[in-house]
Amino acid sequence: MVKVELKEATKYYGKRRGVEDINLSIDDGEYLAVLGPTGSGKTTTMYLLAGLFTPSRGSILFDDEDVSHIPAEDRNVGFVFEEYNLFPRMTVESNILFGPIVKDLDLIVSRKVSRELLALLNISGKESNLPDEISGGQKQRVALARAIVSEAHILVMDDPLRALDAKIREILQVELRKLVKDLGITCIHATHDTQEAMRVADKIAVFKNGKIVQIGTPEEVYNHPNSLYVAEFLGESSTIEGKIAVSKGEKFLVLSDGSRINIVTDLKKGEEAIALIPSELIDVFPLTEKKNLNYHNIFEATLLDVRCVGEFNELDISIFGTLFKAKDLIGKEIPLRKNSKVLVATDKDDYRIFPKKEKEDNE
Amino acid sequence: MSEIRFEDVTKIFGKSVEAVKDLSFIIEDGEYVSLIGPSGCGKTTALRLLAGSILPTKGQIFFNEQPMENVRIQDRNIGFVFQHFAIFPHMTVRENIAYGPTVRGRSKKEIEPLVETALKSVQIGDKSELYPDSLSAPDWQKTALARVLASEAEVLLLDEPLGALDQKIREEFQLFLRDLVKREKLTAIHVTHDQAEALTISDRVAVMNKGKLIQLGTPADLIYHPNHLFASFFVGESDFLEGVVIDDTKKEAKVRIGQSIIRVKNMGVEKGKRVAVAVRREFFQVEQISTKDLSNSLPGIVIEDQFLGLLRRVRIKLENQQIIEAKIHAKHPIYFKENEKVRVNIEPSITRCFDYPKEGIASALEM
Repeated sequence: MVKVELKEATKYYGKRRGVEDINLSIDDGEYLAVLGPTGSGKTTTMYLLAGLFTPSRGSILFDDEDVSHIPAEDRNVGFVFEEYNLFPRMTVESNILFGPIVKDLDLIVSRKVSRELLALLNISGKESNLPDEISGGQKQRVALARAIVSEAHILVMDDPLRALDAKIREILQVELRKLVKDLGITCIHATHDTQEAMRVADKIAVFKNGKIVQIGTPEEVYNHPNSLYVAEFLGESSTIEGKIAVSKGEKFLVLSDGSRINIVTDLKKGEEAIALIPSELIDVFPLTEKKNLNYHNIFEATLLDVRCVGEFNELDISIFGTLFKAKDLIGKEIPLRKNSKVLVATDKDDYRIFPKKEKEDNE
Repeated sequence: MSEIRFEDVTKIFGKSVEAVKDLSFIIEDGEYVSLIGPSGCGKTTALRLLAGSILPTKGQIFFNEQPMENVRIQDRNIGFVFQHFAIFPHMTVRENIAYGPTVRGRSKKEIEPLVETALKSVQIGDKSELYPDSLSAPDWQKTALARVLASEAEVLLLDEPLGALDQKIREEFQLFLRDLVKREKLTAIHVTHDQAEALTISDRVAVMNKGKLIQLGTPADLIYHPNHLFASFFVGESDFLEGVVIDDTKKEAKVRIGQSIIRVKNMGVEKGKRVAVAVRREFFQVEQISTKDLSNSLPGIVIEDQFLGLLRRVRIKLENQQIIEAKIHAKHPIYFKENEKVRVNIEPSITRCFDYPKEGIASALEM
């Protein structure tokens, strides 16, 4: 099995930067998600790994061997694209066995592996169907089986679930992770969808403008974003600006209207800061609950709107003269009415604090 | 005034492909209804039947009790907005909006105020002299909407109208769209693959699968009271616990699941029958074994407690080997360890109890 490394991998398209100085190390059997918006360098990285591009500078190593100039067909990398790219006139099984035939592998063994993969992916019985006769989700499963069947030790996927319906996407995320872990292959999966990245991966690399800005476990990246960019990209949140103040050993963000939010930060007294709070960390209660609450920050606010969007209730709240968005799993009764006064409760470590300068840098 | 009624509408393509089957429903005047379902479920076919771009093989469609059989598409008083913006690139926003009333032979004097009102209603008056290529995607959709308004349509058909917009803009546009439809008193039918969008925007949502209407209800109905196995599977996420009814006499029926007995909401089940108890994943309460009040719970072993930022997902293997997944609050105070013994609490009032499908759950939920 294979450990994958990128060392200062850089790719320019003429003068335009694809990716620059990408340093990444993916352990044998690890599942890495490459996360970023369109144009952040995800696809370029996938193509470099697969061998469809050679780096302009830097190197790519599989098990410490430099493969930067080894062509795609000799790398033992399985590749899955957003489009399924199945041969339309070949059956499901012929599509899957195309690689083994070209590579002259033992077909009896390959057919057995193919059947096992189809069973793992819950599409047994479709072997003799043509691609047109199966659904999008099934096609992507076939593409996945095809990528793995030729003894690939590394699986590279470029937004493989993007074209699928939300429901199928959800199901396939779980199946994908299970398959990769069951087979013990090293997997790199590019996506623009944070929940997908968190769902499938052991580690996430967040990309911005062709560079990696943070790498870590889903929890590290989400709970400890190292920049405003990462924090804003990873989830729905609200932000507010103020100045740091210190009182009795506690730090506060003092807003322009004089309100004080208890926070945790390394920033010093007097520094201008921006506080970000993820929507799911804002708790909202009716005014009557005030006595029963045990939070660092409790503010009175106006509830502008409540919408049920399936698993979550979304709440728009007007507080400190700005709009805050809160999100809560459904299930709990919320006796809250539009345009009523409510209590907004947060803890001091719910806020991610960044120097205000960073916001200007982002813009 | 536009009430729409489908009466046993079936559409067969070619010799035998039943795209929609026996569709019967009423959309009331001024209602906002979304159609959701997996790819190929028939939602776009239903919209095309409504528009009149295809005709039913069987059954009838009525607008205000008037059969539409022989009414052409241009005479149905319908406006369209698609995912890919069908606006003319060589015309300004204003000219695009004026196009409808112009081809209908309205005089210049009549057209002017229609266009002005429409521009104002969608809030793009300041861009009226621009050409589409200098506009952003949301403004294209606003132009398309203004064109519908200026043509005085009463029914608005939307096919993935927000499909090409980025997530953040999309969410803002949903509220704008709903507000516009209500203000202009249109009857709107909206096809989308995004169920959160359908639930946010609509008065009622129709869930379709394999050409059939599964359930038409308010967003709250679909979330809290799905009346069909497929509806509870498709909207949000649920797990289905397989069991046998052992007491059907009370408001809460008793069901044996593995070695345990739990109480579920009695939706008219029969003693001795096999059932599938649907529970939304966010309604499961996972408790450590030491917790006292475990009156209606199933024992299990934690496989994984996965952190997802917005929430956590705890995968649990129940005593009967079934694997379920509980979605818990991001701030839940306890982290569950692998192989930890837990109990999964189920509040009877939030369960939905369905007859166990003959073909098995997996086949019944095939999309």
